[in-house]
Amino acid sequence: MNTLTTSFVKRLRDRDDAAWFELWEVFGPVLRVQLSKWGRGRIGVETVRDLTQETLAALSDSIDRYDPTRGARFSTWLLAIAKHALGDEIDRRMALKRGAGRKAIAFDERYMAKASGIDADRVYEQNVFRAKVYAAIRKTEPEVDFLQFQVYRMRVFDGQSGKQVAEQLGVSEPTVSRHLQRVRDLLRRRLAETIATYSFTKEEQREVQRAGLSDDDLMFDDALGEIYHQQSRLILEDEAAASQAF
Amino acid sequence: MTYGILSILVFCFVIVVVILAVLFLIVPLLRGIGWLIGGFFKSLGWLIGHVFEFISGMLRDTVRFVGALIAGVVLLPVMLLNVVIGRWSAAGHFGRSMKRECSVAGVCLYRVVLQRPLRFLLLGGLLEGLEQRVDEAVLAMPPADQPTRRAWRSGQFDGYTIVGSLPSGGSGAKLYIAEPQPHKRAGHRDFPKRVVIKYFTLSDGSTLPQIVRESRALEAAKQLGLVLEHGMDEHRFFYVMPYHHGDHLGIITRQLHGESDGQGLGRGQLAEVISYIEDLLGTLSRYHRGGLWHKDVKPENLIVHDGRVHLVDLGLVTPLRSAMTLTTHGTEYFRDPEMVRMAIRGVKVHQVDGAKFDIYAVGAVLYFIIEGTFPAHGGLSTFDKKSPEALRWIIRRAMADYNKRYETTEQVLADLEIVRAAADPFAVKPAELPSMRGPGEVAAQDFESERADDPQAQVVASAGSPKPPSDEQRVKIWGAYVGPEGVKAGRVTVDDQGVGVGAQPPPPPAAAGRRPKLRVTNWWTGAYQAQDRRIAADAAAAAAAAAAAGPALGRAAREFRGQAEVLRRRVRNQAVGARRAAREQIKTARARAREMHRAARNHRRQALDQRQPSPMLAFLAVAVLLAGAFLLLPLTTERSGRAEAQELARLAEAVAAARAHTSGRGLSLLLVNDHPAATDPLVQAKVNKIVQEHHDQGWVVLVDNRDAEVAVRKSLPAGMVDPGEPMPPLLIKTLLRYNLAGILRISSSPGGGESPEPYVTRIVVGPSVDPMSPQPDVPTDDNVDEQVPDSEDR
Repeated sequence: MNTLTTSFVKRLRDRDDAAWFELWEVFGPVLRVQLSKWGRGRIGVETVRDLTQETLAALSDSIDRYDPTRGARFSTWLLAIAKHALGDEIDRRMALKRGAGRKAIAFDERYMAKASGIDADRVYEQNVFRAKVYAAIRKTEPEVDFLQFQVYRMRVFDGQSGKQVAEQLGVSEPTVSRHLQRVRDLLRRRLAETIATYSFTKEEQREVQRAGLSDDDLMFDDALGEIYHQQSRLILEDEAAASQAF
Repeated sequence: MTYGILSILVFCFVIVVVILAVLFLIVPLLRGIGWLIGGFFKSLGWLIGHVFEFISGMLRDTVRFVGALIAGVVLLPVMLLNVVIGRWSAAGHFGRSMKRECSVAGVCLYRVVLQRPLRFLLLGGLLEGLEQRVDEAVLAMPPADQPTRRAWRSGQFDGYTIVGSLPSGGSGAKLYIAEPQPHKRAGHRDFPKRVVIKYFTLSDGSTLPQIVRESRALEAAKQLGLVLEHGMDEHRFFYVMPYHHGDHLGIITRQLHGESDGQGLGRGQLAEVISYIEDLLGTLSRYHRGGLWHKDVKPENLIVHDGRVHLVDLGLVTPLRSAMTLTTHGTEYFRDPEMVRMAIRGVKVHQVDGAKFDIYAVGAVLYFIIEGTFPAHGGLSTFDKKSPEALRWIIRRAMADYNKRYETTEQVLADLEIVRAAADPFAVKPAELPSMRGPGEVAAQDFESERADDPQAQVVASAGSPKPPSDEQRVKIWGAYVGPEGVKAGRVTVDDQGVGVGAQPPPPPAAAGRRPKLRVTNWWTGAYQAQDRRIAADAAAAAAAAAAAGPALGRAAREFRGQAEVLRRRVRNQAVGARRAAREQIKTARARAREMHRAARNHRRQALDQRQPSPMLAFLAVAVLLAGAFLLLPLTTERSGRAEAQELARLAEAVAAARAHTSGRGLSLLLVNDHPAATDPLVQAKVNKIVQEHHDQGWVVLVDNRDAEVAVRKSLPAGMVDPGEPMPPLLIKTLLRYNLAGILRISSSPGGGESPEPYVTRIVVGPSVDPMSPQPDVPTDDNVDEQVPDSEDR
């Protein structure tokens, strides 16, 4: 594990509320979507939200016993806890005694075998990766000027041409290019940090290259825009499901 | 040689043409075909998936329905057994289980019978109202209209008559609609006709922290006219607010999107929602100037009434300068995530600008209205619906990071004004917004300086905070001024914005070391004059100095101009609001009239449909019908015979009239020449001969009445050639109309051959109208051949 990850795990172990809120913000939607998928037809929206919280609470309990030498992926670890939370809920509902007496960590152990690739659930893994990228975007936003970020958003996320962006914002095209480059550079740095923070294995860190977030500016923008839209759709689905509960 | 070069050139030209044809014709054609094939297979795949989903869903729900029934059948005797043996808890447990099974069975049945078939036919939208809006309406149903007996016993709300209730919010408080009694309104011209009483009682589940939180900003809220009165004792706590009747913005938004084309709001709708947000910003501006922060701005707390938006629910209102720690209270999606982070870090309220969190909520509300859904992730939310780029910019700036967003509501308002005033909002660029040009910062500075200079703002800002107000600070409450020295009588009015304004401003702080002697000039209004001559002299000197201060006056004039501009804008907004309200009222009245008409019609139909006659009544009705038919049948027969006799009499009269028409010379016959060779001179000669013969027999043959001939042709049956056939009624009517006794019809042979000999048919009206009887010489079918010479004879 790298320094950032160790630091993040340490913050979690120290019960740093901000770290937990960050975890909730970044991976909450992914967990909710995954739990909804597993429990389709059996659990409602509110239960999904409760289980997501329970997953993080279980994470809080088991973080002290996490063994980084086993080489489990962060996503697998999270998935295992979510699965256990769901299984526990189903057990409770079916009034069965299965799992009674065994603690959460006993279930976690089974999922903490060395990961040999993306084998748990490909869609889930992709969602986790997108959540990390999305978190990097969110970290970048407050660090750059509002106008600069809007330039990047309009150009990359909204797909407008440089000329259109320049006309809309009343700036020149070279200015647009400068703003783009500034935001892009910062995004690269934050992306590297975020991926490192939420990755336990080197394989997880290499996902950036595999997703097309390369050194080439054009490819980087395209890949980032695509990931942004996919993650936005996922969050929208999650919010729409949640809004039904209101 | 030349021929060879020419051949090569031609060959090259042909090659180029072929390549161009391939590039510009065949390739696009193939791509188009590929697209069509791909689309076909995609559609096929979707169709198969759709059918498969339908079938599998039906099977699954059917099986679940049967399973739930089986479980219910198993549980029922167990429950009954427990009832019999008196195990009430177990019986209740099994009863609840049965209820769950019944619920599952009901849901499955609904899906199988209604939901899945309609969705299979792509008519799922039909169920939207049933599944969503009905559910929402049931959930939003207000509770009982009267408070509990315990509440009544505890003294109730003196001066108010409770007339209804509202659904409780998240605070657990009860909300009652009440009308102030006359003595409560006496002396307060602008006292609202209806109020809302928010009522907490520990015995009904409210907690002390909630009560403390709600009461924290009451004094400041009173200052702004948001709260009229409050009361607290050992059992309960309540406060009274103006009541605004109407739908909340969530419902209005749903209606607007329902009326739109599904792609986004139109221009008119955009203007409407922008005016709502402007109202909201105006209200929040008053809050912020008064040193308060609403903290729970969301569509459900925005009531649209008379075309204006009213911000309600003061449950989380917090003084901006409070020394309390930030809390995470608020509503998700409309609460700034940064505020949550700050609250987790333990940041104090006075260390941040709470107004910015309200501005975030305004952006979220605007996003909600434009998109019809919650802002997924703050400033990173995506826009899917059509909306002006400038409006998107405003929303993003309002929801931007804490340090990047608008500083004040006035800045947002200035930007929105540009979009609203534009002829085409979609053509407005973000670059044209005032906040992009920089005056926003100036406005923010002005606002800050204004707030710093305004003692009243300072007073209100500190109201309700743990820091006690200083001695000089005096706050106004409903009906009285309250200061360190106690309560002084004074009349308070409410201005058009609902802000409490005293008839007399608070007295200026006395000069250090001496207190002026005051003489009350009007005991009713509380107006007074300072009698200390030294103070008066000081005031005169100050006035002289002020008069000399030209630049200061100029600045004051500019400020007045600015205020005048604000007033003008406010008046304009009110006029627009009034017009909009009038339009809305007319629209609503029309809709209500239509609805009532429709309801009355449906009611009549339902009443008709619901009339289920009893078997005895049905039997009696059938018997009466049969008896009536039995009695009426002879009458009908008799009437029929009478009608026939009348018809005959009418015919006789017609014949007499026809006779009169021909002056007794005979009856008129209309010549209808249908012979195919009617224009042939030979045929014409034969026809003339026939006509002459009829004249000789006393008939008057009409050959020039074209109208009658046309009418007769229309009513003459095509195949009617035999005078023995009964004459059709239409033909009879036609003949009577033109006073004709009959028709003399010339046609070809009845066999249909091309005979040059005319075939004569004389059709006479009625059986007894032949006046010339006996008329042996009348040409008939039998003797016509004898009477008309053939061509050979000629």
